[in-house]
Formats: sequence, structure tokens, C-alpha cells
Amino acid sequence: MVGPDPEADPEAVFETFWESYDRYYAHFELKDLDWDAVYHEYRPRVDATTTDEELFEILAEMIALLQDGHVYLVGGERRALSNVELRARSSNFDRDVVRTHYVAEDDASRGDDRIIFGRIGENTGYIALGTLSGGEGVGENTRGWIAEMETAIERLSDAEAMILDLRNNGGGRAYNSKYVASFFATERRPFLITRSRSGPEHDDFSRPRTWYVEPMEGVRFDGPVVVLTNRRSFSAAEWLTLALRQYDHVVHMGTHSGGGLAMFLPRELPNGWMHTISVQDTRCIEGRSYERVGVAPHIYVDNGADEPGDAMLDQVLNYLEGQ
Amino acid sequence: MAALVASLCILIGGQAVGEETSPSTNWTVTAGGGVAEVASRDEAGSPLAYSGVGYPLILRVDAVGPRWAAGGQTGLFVFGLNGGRLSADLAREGEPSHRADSLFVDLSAWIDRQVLTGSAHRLWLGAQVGHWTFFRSYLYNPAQIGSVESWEAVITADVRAGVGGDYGRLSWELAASVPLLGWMMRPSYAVRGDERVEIVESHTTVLRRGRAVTVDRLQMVQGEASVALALGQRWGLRGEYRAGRLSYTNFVQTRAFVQRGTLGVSLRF
Repeated sequence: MVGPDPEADPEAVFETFWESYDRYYAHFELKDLDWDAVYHEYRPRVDATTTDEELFEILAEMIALLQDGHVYLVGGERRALSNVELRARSSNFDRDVVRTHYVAEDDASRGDDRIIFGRIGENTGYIALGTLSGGEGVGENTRGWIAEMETAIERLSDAEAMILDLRNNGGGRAYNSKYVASFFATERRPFLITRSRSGPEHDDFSRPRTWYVEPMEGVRFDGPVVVLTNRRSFSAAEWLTLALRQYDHVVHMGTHSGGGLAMFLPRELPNGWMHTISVQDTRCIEGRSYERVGVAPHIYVDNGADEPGDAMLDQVLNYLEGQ
Repeated sequence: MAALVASLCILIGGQAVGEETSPSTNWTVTAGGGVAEVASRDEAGSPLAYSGVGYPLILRVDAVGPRWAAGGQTGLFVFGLNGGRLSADLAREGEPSHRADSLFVDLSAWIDRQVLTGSAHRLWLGAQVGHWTFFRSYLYNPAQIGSVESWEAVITADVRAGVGGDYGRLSWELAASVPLLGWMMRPSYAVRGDERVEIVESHTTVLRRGRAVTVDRLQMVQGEASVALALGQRWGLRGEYRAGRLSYTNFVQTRAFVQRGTLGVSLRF
């Protein structure tokens, strides 16, 4: 009564895959990518005799052209990422080094390791968020592990400065970003403008929506703050970074963030494979998009390869000492 | 078309209101449950069809006068309570996931006027306000981050027609309805885009973001067949088969089919 499923042959899978991006992907114009040309280049490589392995490789090549950290393809045990360069980039952050050599308090690890907080020395508060996933609710009604933020801010409220470490934070809920930012906000400010695909044309978008940070009632920290990012600070972690950058008492240090700020849509193909599509155009208040390039820090600091310790954190501490 | 519906309502409603206080009005309340088969092919959610079984609870109220009848009914199932796990054929072939948790509720209120009456048979025409919500939360793959939600929620102004008859303690009815106008609520085109955010902030966004639809975009038909058996002066049993099909297109198409068989206990007042 609802019609037969589409054929799961290689050609039908290719057509559905190409059409899904054509209908929903938000960044063709931003990335100056001619998706019709991609069709004409790759379609001849698929016919009824194409094997699953060959088809997967072809589709993986197509999404690699998008260079999008929110785009991936899963087929059985196979997995292909669009932005291989981003994900393959070696991490320059070791949580254990921070925990062992920097953060002093015994109860420094809270929230199932998703949040670490404590003091570095006498006067510097340190909060590392490993993710922004999980939790539920909005604003002051936020619940779950992320609500440990309130405990962290309370415990560190007498610190002279604060480091919010978002290195290797792969993102999560946008509302968690707003929630965390609210502990550092001094007044209501806009930080992001989003639009979503709203029709079949590549420039069909919903009307712009402005996102605001609202100051948290009660517990807040308005002393000097450094937000620290690396290339693996991604998605909602970049939203949080942009939200914090709206305030004069916050300095952004580290390396560029990951460069993937869009909401994404999982889809499936007639043969059961799954893939994801970025459906949202996301820009800072000044109108810039950080897709692919990431948010550039105010002050660039990095760890050298195979360097012992945490040179980024050392440089942040030196910076705060000099303030 | 709206004028047609309004005229029909006034025609039938006027007659009914005039007779509402008639002492010959019979009220019947029926409650029960049954089994439903549901199927969806929603391009916003998947190119694949998803189907499954729910165990709906139903409630129905009938008021019957000399030449008119009015009533209302609802039936619902909610995943986690009374069925509603849907799956694609791939899942049944052993692929992991490809499942959707669903909620279905239909609600309708109608008023009919008998236009032909024989010794044991009757034919009626009527108007109906209908509602249908079919919500699905898809999980395509264990590696998927977050579920994908899609739904059709529609309020319709319908025309109805039916026939019925009585054989001693047994009565039967066949009825069908089609909408002339509707108010359709669907997720935004991008499904997980900004509108979804607004829905998290305010559930009434779903209502506000609806759109008026006519038969060019919305094709829908619902039908029912029922048998009622009086077991006493004030109570009886009612068996009902009910089915509906919906097709709606706005850039992407969604199609849904629901059929259910239910058995209820009726109390007459």
C-alpha cells in the first residue's frame, strides 16, 4: 500500500546517494562544488556489475570532494570519512598528561571523564570538556552530566583566571554549547546565524536564525578566561568557542578548530548503507563561515610533535601569568 | 470547497442540533483494543518502506437520533507502551537496525444525516473533522549519531458517506471519508535543521509551521466496517475494521497506510 522498495542494485544506490546530497547538502555554493559535474564524472563508473567494494570506493571518493567533517559513509564494516585530513591529523592533546602533571585536586575528574576540573597552581581554574554530547534540557533546565559545569564553576569561582580546554572535543548538543557559555557570559549577545536547506535548489535556505548566549543566573565566572582549541575541537565545540569569543574577558588560544559547524542529517540507501549530510549553513555574527577552515585563535599556540608535557597549556599559563 | 464543507455541516448540523434533545437519542460508549498494521514510506526519513504492528487502544462515542447520528472516536498506540516498532525489509533480512519507533493516533468527530432509510437499511452522508498523527524515530545503523524524526500530523475537514443495517440484535455499518481541506504538519525540509531546534524550544512550533493543503498535495481516504452485537439492554460488543491511506507531497513524498481490527465493549445510555 505504500509502494515497493527501490531496487538495491548499484545504479539505484548511486542515484539515491547522489540525489540525497543534491537535495539536502548545504555547502555546494560555499565550497564552489559543481555536484552535477560530480554526477557526470562518477556515474559512468557504476553499472549493474559494480561490486559492493567498488561502489563503496566510488561513493567514498565523491564525499571526499565535500571535505566535510560531518559527512561519512557506513556500509557494513566499511566506513569512509569525507574529511580524512581532519580526522587523520595527529592529536596534540593528552588528557592523562594534564590530569597527571597539571591539575592538582584529587577529585579533578568528574562526569564520567567527560569533564575534568581542578586547579593548576593556586590561582588558575581548569575545566576540560571532552565532549558536548549527552545531557538534556535547555538553559537552566539542562540536566545530565553537563550540569557538572555548575559544580566546576562554583568550586573554581575564586580563581583569578580560568582555562576552558576544548581540545579533542568532538562536539554534541548545540544547547550544551549555549549552556556552558552562559557561565562565562556577562550579558545577552548573539553569536551565530544559521539557515537550513529548505528546498531542492542548492540556494534554497530557511530564513536566518540568530543564536544568543544568555548569562546564567547566579553562578558565573567573569575573570580572565582562555578557551583552548585544536583541530579536533569540532562542531558544537566550535559553537561554544564562537559564543565565548563574544566577550572581552575571553581569549581564544590554540590552533584552528575543526571547521564543521553544521547540523547533519543521517540518511540511508536502498542497500542499507548509511551516510550523513550537512544540512545547515552556519556563520558567525559577522557573516563568515568557518566550514572546513575552522575558527582561527586570537593567539596561536601548538604542541610540537613528540614533545613531552603540554606545550600549549604551558603557553596558556605563561600568557595568563603575564596578564 | 470550504463553502461546500460549511454548507454540509450547517445542513446536517442544523438538523442534528434541532433534534439533540429528542428523548429518542441513544448514546453508546465503546472501549477496547486490537491489533494494527502500519506502513510508511517517507522520503524525508528513508527511501525504504518501514512497517510493523501496534496494539491500539480505542474509545468511541456514538449518539444516534431518528434520522441523524453523531460521534467521535480515537485510537492510539505508542512505542514502548503498546507496540509500534517498525522495521525495513532489510532488517528482517538480518541487516542491523533499520528500525523506527512509532506513535500513531487518529481522532475523528462526525455528524451524519440519513438520506435514505429502508425497513432495515440506511444510507447517510455527513461531515467529519479528522486528525491523524504518525510519528517515527528512525535508527538506520548502530553507528548512527542520534535518531532521525519524521512525522505526518494532519487535521482534515472530510466528507463522509456510509450504509448500515440491522438484523435483530446485530447491526452493521460501512463508512468512508475523504478530506477536502487539511492542515498538514511535517518536519522541515532538512528534517534536522533549524526548525527542529525551534521544536525543542517550543513544541507549539509544530502547529505554527503547518500549512493548509488541498487534494492536489494531500490524498487521503479512510474507511471502516463494523459489526455490533447487543448482548443485553445496555451493553454489547462491537468489532471494527478500520483502514486509512495517506499520500502527501511537498518536495518529498510521504505515504502511509494503517489498518486495524479492534474489539470493544459497548455501554448504552
